[in-house]
Amino acid sequence: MRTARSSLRSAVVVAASVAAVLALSSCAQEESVPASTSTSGDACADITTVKNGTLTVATSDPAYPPYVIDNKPSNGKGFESATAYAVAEEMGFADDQVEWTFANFGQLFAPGDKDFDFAINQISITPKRQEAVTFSDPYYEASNGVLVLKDSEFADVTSLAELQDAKIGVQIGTTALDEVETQIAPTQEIAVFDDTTQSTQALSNGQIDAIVTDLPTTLYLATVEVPGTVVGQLPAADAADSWGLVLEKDNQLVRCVNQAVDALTESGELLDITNQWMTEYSDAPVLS
Amino acid sequence: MTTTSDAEPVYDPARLQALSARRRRDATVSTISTILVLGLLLALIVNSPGWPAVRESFFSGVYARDVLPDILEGLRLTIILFVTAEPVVLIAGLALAVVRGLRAPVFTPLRILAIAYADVVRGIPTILLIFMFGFGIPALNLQGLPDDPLFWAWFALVVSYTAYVSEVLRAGLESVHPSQRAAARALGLNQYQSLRHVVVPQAFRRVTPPLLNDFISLQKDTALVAVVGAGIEMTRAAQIYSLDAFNFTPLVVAAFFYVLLTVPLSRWADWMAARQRRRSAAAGGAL
Repeated sequence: MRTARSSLRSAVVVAASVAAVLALSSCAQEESVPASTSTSGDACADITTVKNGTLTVATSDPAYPPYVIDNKPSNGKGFESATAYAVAEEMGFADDQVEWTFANFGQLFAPGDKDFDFAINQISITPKRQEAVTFSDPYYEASNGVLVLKDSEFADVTSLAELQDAKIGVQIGTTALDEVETQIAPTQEIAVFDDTTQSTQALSNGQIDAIVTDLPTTLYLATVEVPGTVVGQLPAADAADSWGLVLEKDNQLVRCVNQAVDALTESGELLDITNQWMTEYSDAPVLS
Repeated sequence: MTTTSDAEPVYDPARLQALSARRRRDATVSTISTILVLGLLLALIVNSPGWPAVRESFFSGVYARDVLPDILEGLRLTIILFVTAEPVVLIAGLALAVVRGLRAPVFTPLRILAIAYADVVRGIPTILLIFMFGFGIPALNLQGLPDDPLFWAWFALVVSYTAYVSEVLRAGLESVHPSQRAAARALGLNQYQSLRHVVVPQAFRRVTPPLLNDFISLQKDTALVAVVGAGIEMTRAAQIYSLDAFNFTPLVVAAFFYVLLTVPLSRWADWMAARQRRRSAAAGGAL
């Protein structure tokens, strides 16, 4: 049996080692925050990036058309890939100074240092999210489209009311869930999928009647993935669904990013990129 | 009541005093040690440079309150899923375990099938089984089969856990000494009766802890049904809010409820085991 002395000794040893760890960890100070940029007109004059001399951009894996083509954001093809390279150029980074990394949803807002400068992944700007991350100015205004199979009983609907009895599927983390609940108020529980791959499978199987997600995605799926038709788009909600680039909370780089996005918007270059990649995927009647 | 050797019926005041003094000292030391270690660990966490960000991201009181109704709604489906799955798993697992124990040559094909089932199913990740059943079977367009992903996801959980549980129960059945069965037969019980009244009850008691492991695991794996869009159980409810608000607190709240579901089960199993030990001891340690 252990004596009182030996248990006292082991308690002291444990306490001492914990104290040692504590002392060590408090030495590990937070990395120095980059000094705020100069107050001169150019917000990109003196910027700090994750990797010096390189702009690291994150997107999801897989990334889907029409935003990224062939799941290779580095090929410059697709709306978001092209937009990222245009923003980078405005910020002063040549194409070969842009590096891509993958970040899933959780990594975008996980606390701690990020391994990307900004993420581009059809992320809607919302007030709640702004408490956890910093958004750039919007680069796209999206609305939600309704995709059904061509031979579906819902293929000819023209109003939101006609969709009420449909089994509707959405992707998690999108604004579609909220909008379907408030605008359609379906009688059946909304199915929530991780990804378009799963919702498309469920649509093909007849397990859901309709997919509601961002309009370009529904139009892309209807032309490429399933024999479907986009019956229309939901009316824009009170606050328009704007997509922004996602930065670590309070990252001062956002001033330079915004300067770039605004310049692209004013020069019309952003519109050109949008037209080039999204025209095919942005037209559908508004359901009422 | 005199049960331990510490209290020999020799009356010795000095010895008793020394004993109680030692007990007091032990209690003091363990209290101080516990407070010190836990306190230092806590201090280590809350003094770390990233703690404010972590607290905001994982332990936000505002979000925890806000997500609670969604979590409770999801908890309902979580409970329905495992409460309906566990009895089926137990019965199917037992059937499989008994089949594997059949010795007669005529049962060889059944035995081979049971072995193949356990080997193959245990090798496949549960999430893949749920995809295969939830999306695959409805895609076959077979008449008469349901295409509800919730049913098939539930079924996949049952299929997966039956394989694990059958192995646990087989180990339990094999741990019952052959003499027990022989004694039962000698008393005039037939094959089924000796299994039902002698072997299975002993086997069950012995494997209660590993059985419980599997059921706790099943309770958490009910979260996997969401991958085929099969309903908003607790984890999915938390994820929805989490990705909407860019905050991990809902997942922590869900974890709290999962723990709440499993702790009573663990304590109950410990109590069962302790009772079993007492009874065995009372019976002269025969079992």
